[in-house]
Amino acid sequence: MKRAWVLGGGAVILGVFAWLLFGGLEKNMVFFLTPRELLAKGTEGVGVPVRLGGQVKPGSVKWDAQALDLRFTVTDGGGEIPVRATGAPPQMFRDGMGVIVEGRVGTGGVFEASNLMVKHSNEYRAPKPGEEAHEKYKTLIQQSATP
Amino acid sequence: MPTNDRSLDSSLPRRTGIWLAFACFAVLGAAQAYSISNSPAEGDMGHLQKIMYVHVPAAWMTFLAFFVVLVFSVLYLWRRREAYDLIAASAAEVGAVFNGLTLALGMIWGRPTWGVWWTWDARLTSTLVLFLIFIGYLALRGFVDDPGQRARWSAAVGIIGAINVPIVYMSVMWWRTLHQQPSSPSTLDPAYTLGLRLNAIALLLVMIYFIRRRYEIARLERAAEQAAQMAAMGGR
Amino acid sequence: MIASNETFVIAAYALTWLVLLGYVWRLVSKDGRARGDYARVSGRGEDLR
Repeated sequence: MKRAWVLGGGAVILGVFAWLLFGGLEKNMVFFLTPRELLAKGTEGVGVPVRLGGQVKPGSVKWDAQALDLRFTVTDGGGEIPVRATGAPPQMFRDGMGVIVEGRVGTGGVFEASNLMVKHSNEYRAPKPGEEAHEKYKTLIQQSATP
Repeated sequence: MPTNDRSLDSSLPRRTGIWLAFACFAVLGAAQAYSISNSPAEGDMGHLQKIMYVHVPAAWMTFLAFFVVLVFSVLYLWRRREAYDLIAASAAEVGAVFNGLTLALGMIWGRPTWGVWWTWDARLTSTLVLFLIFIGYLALRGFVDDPGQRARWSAAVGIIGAINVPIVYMSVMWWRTLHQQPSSPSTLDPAYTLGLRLNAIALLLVMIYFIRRRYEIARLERAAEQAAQMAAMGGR
Repeated sequence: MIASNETFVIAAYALTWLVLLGYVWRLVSKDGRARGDYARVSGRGEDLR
């Protein structure tokens, strides 16, 4: 009896493990598409739930604090997609930062984001006087755009 | 039978002194105090960078503990010595504690920096899978009564689980993830590198204490189990 | 806006200590139980002999 339980439990654990590793993860293997990749899908990429990752194009951020309406452009150096999000963005969100947005491309070609995530690099530095530009995110996104 | 009893008594493990625990935790507290007070606010995330000193060492200790599980599971299958099984089990339990802590600390760090508590990217998902495998490992040990069978089966699960460790580590290199790639001294401010190293050493001491202490208790439990079996046989 | 940065940092360190000391507590109680079991079982063994 106990042996049956253990064998059953073991089978369930192995099954979940296999599903997560080969099924569940497979779907998430490509965690996000870059603007270039999403644009290359053409009409196939419109209206379907997708994650879009890239760099916030410097100078593109428009934030209406009253209406909680956030607009910016995501770029990977090769393609650009305008994004509309609602709600206050995470505190690290700013020009030039890496972002991943969840949502879908609307008919007007604007990405309607339901979720906005900021992608941090592996660099941690105390700011030096006069240091401002977040150039590192450009290289970060370009690196991840070439699989 | 009396000789057997005596060998059990003489092999009964002593308690590793509580002073060793105090020493380990004092070192950890000192490392945290030093690194917190000597870390300048980070350019992007300000004081949130300080979560690194607990999250990253906890992740490293998870990997290390499961590596110990791997080594002693293989050793058990090779040599069939009960001590190897008990060491593997002790390291698995301690590793699971650090694994759970890593996940929870990652969520606390992710919410204010990334904007989400959780996402199903390859790093986060594989770390959760690792956690679930070792929860399964510990549940399996509770289920199987026969010590030999328990040791063999948990060695198999322990090896399968530990194989996941390099997958977790490499996940950020192999797949696109929200989680960033590992930092290195070249991508860290020197103050952060020092803080991270101090905290890793301190947590390593704590982990060694945990595994050692858990192993002593595991031997005690086995001694009680054996004594109970012998008493039952004597009763009949 | 959600809680401040300091709250998250404090929560992270508090959780770390809670988990680590919680595990110490578990070890201590497990040790006590195992010693009690051993004493009880081996004591009964002597009675039977």
